Amino acid sequence: MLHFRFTQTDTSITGTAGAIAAAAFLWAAPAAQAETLTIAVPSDPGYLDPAYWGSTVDQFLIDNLYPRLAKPVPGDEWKFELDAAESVDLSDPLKIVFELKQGIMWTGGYGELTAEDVEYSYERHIDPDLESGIVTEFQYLEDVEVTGKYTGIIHLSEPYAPFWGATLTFTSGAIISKAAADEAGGWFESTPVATASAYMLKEFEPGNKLVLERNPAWTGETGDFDEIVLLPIGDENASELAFAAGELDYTRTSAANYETLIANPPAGGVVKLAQTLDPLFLGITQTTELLADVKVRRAIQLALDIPTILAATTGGHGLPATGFVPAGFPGHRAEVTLTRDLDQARALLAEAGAEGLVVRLDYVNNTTRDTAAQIMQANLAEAGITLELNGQDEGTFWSLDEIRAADLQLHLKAWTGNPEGYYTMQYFVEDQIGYWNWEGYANDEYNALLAQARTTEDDAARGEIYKTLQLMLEESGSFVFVSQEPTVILHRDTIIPGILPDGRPVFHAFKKAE
Amino acid sequence: MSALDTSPPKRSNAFFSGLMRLMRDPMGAVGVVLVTLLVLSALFAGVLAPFDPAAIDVPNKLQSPSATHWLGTDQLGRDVLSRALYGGQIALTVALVSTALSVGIGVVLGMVAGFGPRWLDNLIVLSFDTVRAYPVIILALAVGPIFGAGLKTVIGILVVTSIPYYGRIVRTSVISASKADYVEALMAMGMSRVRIVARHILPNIIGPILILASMDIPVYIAAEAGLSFLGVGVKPPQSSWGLILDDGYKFIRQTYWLVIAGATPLIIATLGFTFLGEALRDTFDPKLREGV
Repeated sequence: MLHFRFTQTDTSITGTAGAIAAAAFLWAAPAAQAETLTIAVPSDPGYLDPAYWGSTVDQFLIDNLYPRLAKPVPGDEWKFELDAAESVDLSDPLKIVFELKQGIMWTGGYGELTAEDVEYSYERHIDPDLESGIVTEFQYLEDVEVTGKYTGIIHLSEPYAPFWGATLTFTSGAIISKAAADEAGGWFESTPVATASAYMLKEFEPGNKLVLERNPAWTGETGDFDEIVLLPIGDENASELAFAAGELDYTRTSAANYETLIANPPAGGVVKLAQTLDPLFLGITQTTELLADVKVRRAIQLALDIPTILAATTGGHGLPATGFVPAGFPGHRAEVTLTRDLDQARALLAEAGAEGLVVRLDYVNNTTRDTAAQIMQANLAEAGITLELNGQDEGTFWSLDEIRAADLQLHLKAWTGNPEGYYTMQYFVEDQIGYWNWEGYANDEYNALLAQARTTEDDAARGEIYKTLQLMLEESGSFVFVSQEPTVILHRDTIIPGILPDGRPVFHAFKKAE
Repeated sequence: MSALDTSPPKRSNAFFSGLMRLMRDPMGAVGVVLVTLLVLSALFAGVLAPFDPAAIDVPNKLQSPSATHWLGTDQLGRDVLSRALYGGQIALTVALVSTALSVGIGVVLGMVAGFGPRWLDNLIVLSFDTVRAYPVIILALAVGPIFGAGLKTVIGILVVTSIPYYGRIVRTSVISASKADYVEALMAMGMSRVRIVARHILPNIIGPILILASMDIPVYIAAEAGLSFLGVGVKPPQSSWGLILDDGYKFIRQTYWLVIAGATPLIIATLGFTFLGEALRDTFDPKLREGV
């Protein structure tokens, strides 16, 4: 089973089509009511079954509809709080002992959330029949022992330090109702049978809107809005225009527009900049014959002008990415080790006998990616490399490993980031070639170090290993880290949005301004 | 000139008298001027463009018009005037190549259908109707991703969708002409069908077809811009008015100059070729000229 992994800046439809879709909806829809919060999202959800989540919208919705043992708290700094768990004991590297809060009710009459739901939710990912898209994250889960109605122990087969911080507290740690999932046949797509949060799904019209409404059975913190309407608008600039037209209460847009928005904000709009955790990087497939020579890949790396790409795509507000660990977390590489050297790039191409190289770049066709792709094209042209641009819609792009098969070449993509470097770096092992390791990277030394990171409990020590791993990836010539993508949030001054430090919305934390 | 001059009219005289008639028509004069300007600016884009149209200068992105950049710069700091001038090359290339191929293939197929056996006529007409059933944009959006965006794809789409238009007109003209007495007489004399078509029918219908084709040039120019705007046309680093418009749409809140820069040459080209085509028709179509 293929599952897609997108970020909020990737889109499934072109800007024009997005604008048309948005315009069509806005034409048909009445103006937003006072109790309705209208939010633009990049696409429709694909899978709301946590086993197959992929897109940013899947992530938003799963995070907002299902409980986890613990979750990040809205605000400017990364902090976590217990969610469905009353208490958690992480003292044993092979065990996570938990006790659930009582009285968390599933919608649809599926009863109370219990430890059996936790057991079912996590053990299903290691069931080969389910073909869970996040099985890699659960590969060291042995089982979940239910010790009482509300208590249990998560057993790991090997120490797996990032499991709590990278998996269970983020989207993949979502807990679903065993009874509801069983009734649905063990899995579901975009229509969850039962959820447990402040809001629940009211209606979903693909391509048009998704509406959430208050969950009357919810006893926890709730938001100020009766309904939350999510409109799929693929292009950031199109959603910005819709916001300016007064049809949205909250949207995200390109950081390249930040200065303009600050200087000339839409009427009644508030502009806020947030750093996502998502790394934007150029993958160079080394298993493709054309790019098999490391000299060719290094030449491409050295020909690119990353600061210019950053300036054009983020308006200078993006942090240069140096790997997969975001700034501020253990393992982040502060030093940029790849700088442009056209002479060396040309020399390497000559050594490899690859003058006049023609390569293809695939990317998701939105304004930001297209801007970056065009600069890369100009950069490589200076080194004598012809770059053919192939902007794709999001669905096509994330199927490229199947479409291109053995002819993947260059691919510009953003992955969903995570404070734990292991979360992303675990996908660059040989077993992942043909799945998420589009770069075809295979290195025993890397695998060994990655395993060492997994079992290293000390954050600082684990961080040092992450730094080495990221340097190895870069030196392979198969990775060019571009930016840790910033995003600009636009919201009405009549609301106070509840957002995580990376800009992801937490619906129940949206409040009306006094 | 003597009272009875039997010498054939000189070709240059006919051309100049036609041109004079064209220029006396205000619409024709405007058309000639605009089209001449467009053609010259496209032909000499390499000389006229102040900058390399692909040269990126991010620190100077999205600038308003200035003494250095007469039409400002785009989101990558590229000079918009230079891109618009080179975009003219693309527009005219697409228009002229598409027109030539559509007319050429359409005329041949139309003549074959009109003068060939019945079964072949039916087959060709069925093919024409099948192609015409698909709106150009929808066909482009479907075919573009298969063959990949680019100049060849744009031309291919425009040619395939235009051939039936010319083919049907030619077929109708050929069927009508084939019933004329002189054609029946030629056939009775044993002249081959191919020769009759080539020597006697084609010269009679090619004039109106070419006038029609000239009026379709702005349609091709607009179609190329539209397809490029939608992402199935010309690809970077090539420049196209449609791509400039697309950039303008995306960055409309930052600057409106990109939209103006992309739309203005498109408007000029559309007006110029439309005026010229209509004036040509009025001037050279004898039926219209004589008010028949």
